[in-house]
Amino acid sequence: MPLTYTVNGPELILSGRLDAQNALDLRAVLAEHAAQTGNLHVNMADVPFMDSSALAALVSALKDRRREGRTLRLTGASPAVHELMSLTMLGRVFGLEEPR
Amino acid sequence: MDVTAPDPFTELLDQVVDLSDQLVFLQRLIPQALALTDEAQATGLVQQAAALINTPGAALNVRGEWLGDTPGWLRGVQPPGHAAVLPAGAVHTGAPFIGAWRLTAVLAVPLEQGWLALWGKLDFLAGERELINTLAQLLDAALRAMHGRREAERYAIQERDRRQARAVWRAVTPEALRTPPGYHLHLHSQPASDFGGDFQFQEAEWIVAGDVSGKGLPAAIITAMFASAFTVAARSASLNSTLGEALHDHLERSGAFCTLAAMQVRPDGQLRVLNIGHPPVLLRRADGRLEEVRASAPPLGTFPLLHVDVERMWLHPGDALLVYSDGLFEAEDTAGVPFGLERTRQLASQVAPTAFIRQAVAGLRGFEVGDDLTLLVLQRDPAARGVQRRLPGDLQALVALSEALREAVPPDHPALMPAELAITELFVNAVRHGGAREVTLRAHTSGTDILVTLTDDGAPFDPRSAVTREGGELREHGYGLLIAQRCAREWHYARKAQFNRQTLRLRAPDLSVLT
Amino acid sequence: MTRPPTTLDVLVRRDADDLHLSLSGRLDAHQVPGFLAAAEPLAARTTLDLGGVTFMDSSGLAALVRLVRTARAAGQDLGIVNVQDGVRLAMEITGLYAVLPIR
Repeated sequence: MPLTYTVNGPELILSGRLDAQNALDLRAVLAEHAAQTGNLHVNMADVPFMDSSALAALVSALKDRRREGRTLRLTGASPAVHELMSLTMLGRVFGLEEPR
Repeated sequence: MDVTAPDPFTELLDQVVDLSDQLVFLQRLIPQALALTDEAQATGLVQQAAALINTPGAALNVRGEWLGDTPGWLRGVQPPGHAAVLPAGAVHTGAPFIGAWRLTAVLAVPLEQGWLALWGKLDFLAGERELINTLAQLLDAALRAMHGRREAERYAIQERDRRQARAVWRAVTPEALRTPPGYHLHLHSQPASDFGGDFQFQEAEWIVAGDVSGKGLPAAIITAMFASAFTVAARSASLNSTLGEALHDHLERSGAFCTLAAMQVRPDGQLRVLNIGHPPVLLRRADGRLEEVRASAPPLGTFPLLHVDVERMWLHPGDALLVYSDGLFEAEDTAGVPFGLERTRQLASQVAPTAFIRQAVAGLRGFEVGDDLTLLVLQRDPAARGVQRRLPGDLQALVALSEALREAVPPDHPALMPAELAITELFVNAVRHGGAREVTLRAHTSGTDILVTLTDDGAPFDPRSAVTREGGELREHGYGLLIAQRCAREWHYARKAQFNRQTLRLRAPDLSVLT
Repeated sequence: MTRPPTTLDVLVRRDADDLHLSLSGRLDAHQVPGFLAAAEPLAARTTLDLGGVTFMDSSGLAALVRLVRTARAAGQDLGIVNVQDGVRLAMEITGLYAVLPIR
């Protein structure tokens, strides 16, 4: 499924599934958005499902931002996304609270 | 004065001369064409041909790209469907006003992958058009041959790389693992492609499974490096930092991540398990109850590895560890619903370990497995002597607790009495102070030791933290945990989900040390 | 081999200033209240015969300690006899073997 997103100022709003099929597009979109705005705010409220390749893309983007002294923040994570983050212990680095 | 008609003979002679020039050109052209190594050289041939027919302007377009300098007006001209001469004046050759430039015809000849254009004179004779047609055919053949050579080379390189990568991969991730004595081991390895992604290997007592992100040759190399780094790390005392240092730089530079589920398996049921970014490792007890070993650190290569929890546990007879990759729970059915972790847990709990892989594979029918799928089951031999007993959190059950222990331990075993004492104390403690409503005893012998796992659903409490007093005083309280401490050669505590888990190695105490 | 005892039996013999308690079975957390009820009140001279005790846990030890202290506070004599291996182990581990009045 192709990547769907909208940009609202500094906020990048992702929609739909994030998985291996659109992970490369996700990387490109994150890089492009970062180039324009510096600190990344990624809104996941409309993302029902994310797999490990999408997670890898987000981690890459986070590391790139950190190298530049900037941040990447995730908001609106659904329970499924929370679960993946907490299973891989990556929730905290993205600023997600520990679920439950 | 009348215009003298050209002498037919002279005309013919001219044509023959032209023709022989052309033949010579073509003779020279053929070897040049065959030796083409890139498309820019083809432009040179076109320009040579143009010069031969007194045409100042020539350009070559391949796959929509003009090679070399091209006048702007040419970019606006549509590629021809067949060879044609656009008569002088038909194309506006970029002049700001018509009279400023000489009118020119344009000879446009299509190629298989583009077209060529010649211009700068009023008309093109038939013979000239023939020559350029021949040139076009030659160019097509030459470009085709050139691409073919390139493809063959690239394919040969890819094929060689692919074979190498596959050899590296298979050497590092064997399709069969050695079964440790006293256990049953089953492995289902189903890579999504030739190599890359999930891996597993053994090193001494360690069985390691993991997932490298990013497929292909780099992933295979990373895994090979990892395997050798892990070999060193596994032998060194400090597993955590060595692992982290060895791998992090390499992985980070290559942009790859690597998850890891590693278990050190001893013959008597002792395990050490660590999980770095991998899906939860499931400990399935013989009675179907599940405990999880979740990741205690994110995947290697994401962030520097600061600390990893190494969990100690006993696998009692019939207990099993289940390791699986995300290819399992991320598989999706036609409606896009994933197989999911919950279904994985249910399957693990309800199905005997020996049937887990078969049932998982069957359960995946109707699902699309998009990633590598790895399923690993390590089960302690269920036929060995041991006991697993659930008891109510009631002091009346102390008798049943002792009887259960005696199912696993022969009456003359040197650690029987200390073990009975220790587990009694811990049972009473869990019931009286933790409010436990159910306590489960699991036990088996290991030489002169008894390995015991005691789980209770009482309030979180690590009893090891409460043992501070010395013995030898005449006081009524505080002896319980002291007894447990003195009978336990090893005592690990873990809070798992909603219960406390004590993992003990019990042995007859050396009383000479105490007095 | 017969099944080990699951409860505690206390044989009580009182006469004049002597109290003789013969225990057999398990002196564990569950059985302690019954034991204490049978043992009290202590006499001027009390003997605890543990010859039949197959198992004693820290609650059982605590009960012994309580009786010993009660006797001492009242100026009474209390002795413990026939300590078996398992019970001795529990006493040794806690260091109580050296401080209990074992005869």
